Amino acid sequence: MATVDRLTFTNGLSKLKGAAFRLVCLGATAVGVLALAALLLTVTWGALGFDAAHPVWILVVLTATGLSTGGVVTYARRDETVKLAAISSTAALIGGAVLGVFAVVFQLIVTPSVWAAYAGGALLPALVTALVIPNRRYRLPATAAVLVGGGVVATVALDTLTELAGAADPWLLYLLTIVVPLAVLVWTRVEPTAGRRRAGLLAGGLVLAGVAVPLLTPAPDPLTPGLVLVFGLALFSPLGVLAWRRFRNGQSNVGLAAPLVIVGGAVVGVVIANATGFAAADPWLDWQFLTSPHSRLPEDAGLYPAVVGSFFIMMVMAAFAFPVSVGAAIYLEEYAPSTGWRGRIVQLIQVNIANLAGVPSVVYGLLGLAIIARGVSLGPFALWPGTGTGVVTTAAFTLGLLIMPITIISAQEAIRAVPDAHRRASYAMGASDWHTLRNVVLPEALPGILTGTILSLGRAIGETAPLIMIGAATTVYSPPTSLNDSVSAMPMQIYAWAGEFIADFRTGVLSAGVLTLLLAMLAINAVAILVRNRYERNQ
Amino acid sequence: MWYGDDRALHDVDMDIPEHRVTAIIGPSGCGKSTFLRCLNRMNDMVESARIEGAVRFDGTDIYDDAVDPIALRRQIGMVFQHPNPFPKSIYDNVAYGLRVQDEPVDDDVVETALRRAALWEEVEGQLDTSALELSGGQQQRLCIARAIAVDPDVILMDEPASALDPVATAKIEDLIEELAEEYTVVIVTHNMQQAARISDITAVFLTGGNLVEIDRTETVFKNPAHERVEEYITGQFG
Amino acid sequence: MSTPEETARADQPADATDITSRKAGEIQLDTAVRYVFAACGVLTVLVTAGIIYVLIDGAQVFFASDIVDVQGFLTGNTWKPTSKTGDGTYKFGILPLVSGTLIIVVTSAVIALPTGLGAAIYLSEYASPRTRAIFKPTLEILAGVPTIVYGFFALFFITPFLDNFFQIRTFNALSAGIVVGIMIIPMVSSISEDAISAVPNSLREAAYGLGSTKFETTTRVVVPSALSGIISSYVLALSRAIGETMAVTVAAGQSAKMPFYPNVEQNLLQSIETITAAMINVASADIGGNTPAYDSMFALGLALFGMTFVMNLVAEYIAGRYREEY
Repeated sequence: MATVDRLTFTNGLSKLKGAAFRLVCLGATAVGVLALAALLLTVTWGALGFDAAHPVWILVVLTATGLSTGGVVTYARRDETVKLAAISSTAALIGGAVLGVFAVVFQLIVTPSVWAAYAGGALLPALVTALVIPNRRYRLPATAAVLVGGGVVATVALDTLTELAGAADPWLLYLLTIVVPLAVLVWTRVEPTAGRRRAGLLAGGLVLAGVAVPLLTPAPDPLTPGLVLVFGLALFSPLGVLAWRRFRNGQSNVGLAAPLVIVGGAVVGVVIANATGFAAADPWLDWQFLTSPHSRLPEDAGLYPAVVGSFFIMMVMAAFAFPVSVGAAIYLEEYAPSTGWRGRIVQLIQVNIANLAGVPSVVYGLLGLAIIARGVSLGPFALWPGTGTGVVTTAAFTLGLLIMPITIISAQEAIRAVPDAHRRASYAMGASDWHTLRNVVLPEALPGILTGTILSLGRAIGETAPLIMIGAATTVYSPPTSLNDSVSAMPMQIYAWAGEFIADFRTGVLSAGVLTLLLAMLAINAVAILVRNRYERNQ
Repeated sequence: MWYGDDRALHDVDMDIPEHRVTAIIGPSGCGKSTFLRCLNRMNDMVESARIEGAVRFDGTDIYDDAVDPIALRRQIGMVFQHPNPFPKSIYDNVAYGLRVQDEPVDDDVVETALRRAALWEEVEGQLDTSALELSGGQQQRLCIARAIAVDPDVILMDEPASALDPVATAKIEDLIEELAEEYTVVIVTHNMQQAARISDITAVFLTGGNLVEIDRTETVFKNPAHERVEEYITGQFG
Repeated sequence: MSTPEETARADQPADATDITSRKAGEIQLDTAVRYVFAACGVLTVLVTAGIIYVLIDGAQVFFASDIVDVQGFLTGNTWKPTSKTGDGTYKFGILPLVSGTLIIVVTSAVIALPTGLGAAIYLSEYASPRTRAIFKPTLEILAGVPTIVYGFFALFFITPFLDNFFQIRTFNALSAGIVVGIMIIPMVSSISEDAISAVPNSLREAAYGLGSTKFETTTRVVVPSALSGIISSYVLALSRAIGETMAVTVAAGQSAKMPFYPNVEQNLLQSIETITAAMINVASADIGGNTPAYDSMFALGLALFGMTFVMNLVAEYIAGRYREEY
């Protein structure tokens, strides 16, 4: 039966070859995962000081953490909505933490009284205007007018206003300018669906917490009670919004406790492990590390000025680079001609952007050094005065130019994903380019644009070489408070520690610095992924 | 009418009467959709598009330099082959045209437009839900409501029912007949029965972008002047 | 060509339908907005122009000094910009730096090119959606880890590990090359995967239809079809390796040297200096502006920019060709 033979005949060698090839490819994919795991493990181990701990202590802590994590995972797995709640609440807390650090650094730089002057003079009146005016048509222009007008008034009367605000305790200012308006906002949103009693409880509870937290919790140096309040609000507000949404849609909120259970498990583990009497871990990454500047002694060294510096640079950079990048992306996708000689120029711009994305970051550093820091003059005319070497503005502009190409490319992708049918519908209604863009294209592309910009923030926060080139200091002892201050950044301080003579710097302190940087980067990426997932679910 | 070097329409000369339904039929690729898009200058979006001759609206050539294509499109509404509501609420979709023209949006206008589009009963009370949650037929009627909310003079429809099921199609056809009382409707369709059912005037385009025949619908279908048109209508090609 | 008469008349009553103008300011706003966005696009060109201007201007100052000329820079085999050599002069020869860069590029290529391609094949041809959901984000995170962290990883993890097998220096080219390789794996894998996924399924079906196994289909049909995309990813990744700075500065050391011969293995085990690391060293050394060392950074930058620019263009060209194929 030759035919049957032919059909059933399998070449053993060929099968083996196929299986081996598959295995090799799997191995290649695993290399990256293994490298990342080894990296995270080494860094975490060093930063948390596990090498000082007795194996039994480590075992107890890991078991407790593993049990609580495993418990949460097994429980959440059975129910899709619980799983979703667990994942989103974890992401919301991480996002809240990132937001909190930005908010605190922002407040450190602007100072409470200046913040209060602008909040009281412009932001709050604008908010009131927006809530009071019922007609959709006049709401936006009126709000904008109040915002701008109030801003001008506040700027003119800044000295008087800050003096006035300076008389009050900072946390009181935050209570009035942030907590109370937030409570009002919560009331207006919650009251229609949940009723007066619940809304009142929520808003009242919020104000009460705003009073109690600064008064009752001891503010660890260098945080003030006001900053603790700001951080707390930012930390929990995404979670609060999430819980409210789920409540409104009648979904269970059990899953929201997931991050709490996991952290709780770890804490319980540490308590039990300490009770056993075996040597505990001596973490390098602790509160002291996050709040002190560099020191000659490894035990006293910290990352505080660099953390503030990094986030300060990020804020200034984002304010400059994101609008320009999104603008360029909009031009290329929505306006740019594609035919004729103009079309060829646009093509050239496109190729140029792809090329800029591949220019080594150290070369951007040279650009920052020679033009942004030192200025440009044409003969006797100073075209650009130069911002000076090693200061916040220079760092922010240099990194801004560096991330521009990748931000543009990702924003272009987001804009391209908006269906053409929507544009056509808008144009057929007699909408202008700008109207179509503002009301149809941008709202739909926004989540994608945001994801891309946040990811590029994650890239910028780890950049080192350009900062070295523009003469940023590796170590500064006090955080920058203005745009013209010398600045260091987290990766710069890490670079400095890698070259220290005392061994503890190169192991413990360095690991703590690297872990902080990695956590910041991972948290930023988590926020981007959160935005993307929310968007995809809404589609 | 050219796209680059390709000529899409030849020597088209026709009158479109007011408050009537004018149907444009013809085999695929005959240029009927292209012709429709000439009427509100949507072809301007295509960079290589070029036109010679004139399209007169109220006696004004809409390709005159003085004409603003955007202002023109506010007088000539359009409904597309595939329903394309914006991913906004039903209310915001209908109100879009008014916002475009910076006119006050009031709930009555939205209600009237939805009533005229025979959609009001089905969506009343859920105006704030997303338009994407409607069925295909409802979405298309929403697009019609969106187009008539600004009270245009002319409504262009590019195969408005071809992506819909028979029940939804019937509803759209009834709607078109009603709309003709107030608006001038130009509808492109590949469905000859549809043209026969709803139109007053029928124009037949045949391959190569030539307008072959235009007359009262009855005449075109019962007693066409051209042999080619008769062949097309009796299904011998197309 | 005949003059066509395309007229359509809508016999409307002459009521007040204005089709020639809009509300005041609307058109002006539209135009203004367009120009603002166009200006943003033009800014990207200015950045490139700025980079080229800065590099050429700085390099021209450098070569105008009597310390070194272009030929001496390109053929010199000693790099001593901030400390004097035995004969009492500074030396600016780029060859040892080029050699250092090449060693890193070759080492990282050996690691990353096969691994990245393997990962790309696995992810696009073999992986279940579930495994993809784990591996893809992990590779993305790997691409996002700051390069200085990789330097730290090489110095304190890979070098001590290699020390078990070789007589290796604390600062060495091998561990730096390995981490640069790990760093560029995601770049190779993601671009190659796009190219492999772009191969039409009809080609795979044709191969199966002829009785090929999955292995034969993948290696003889799919991968060759995606070859230009894969090569493009290789070129881009190597360009990235050339420009990589912090990992090699931290892990590979700071001593510029010409390649060892015939003891070739020493090239990996000893410390080296790349072009990028030399720039960082000059920048962090306490030297003022307008010294030859300061200006030399721009000459190095120009060399670096030239190399990566050409490679990026080549990659773009190759990728453009494969996009046209389907």
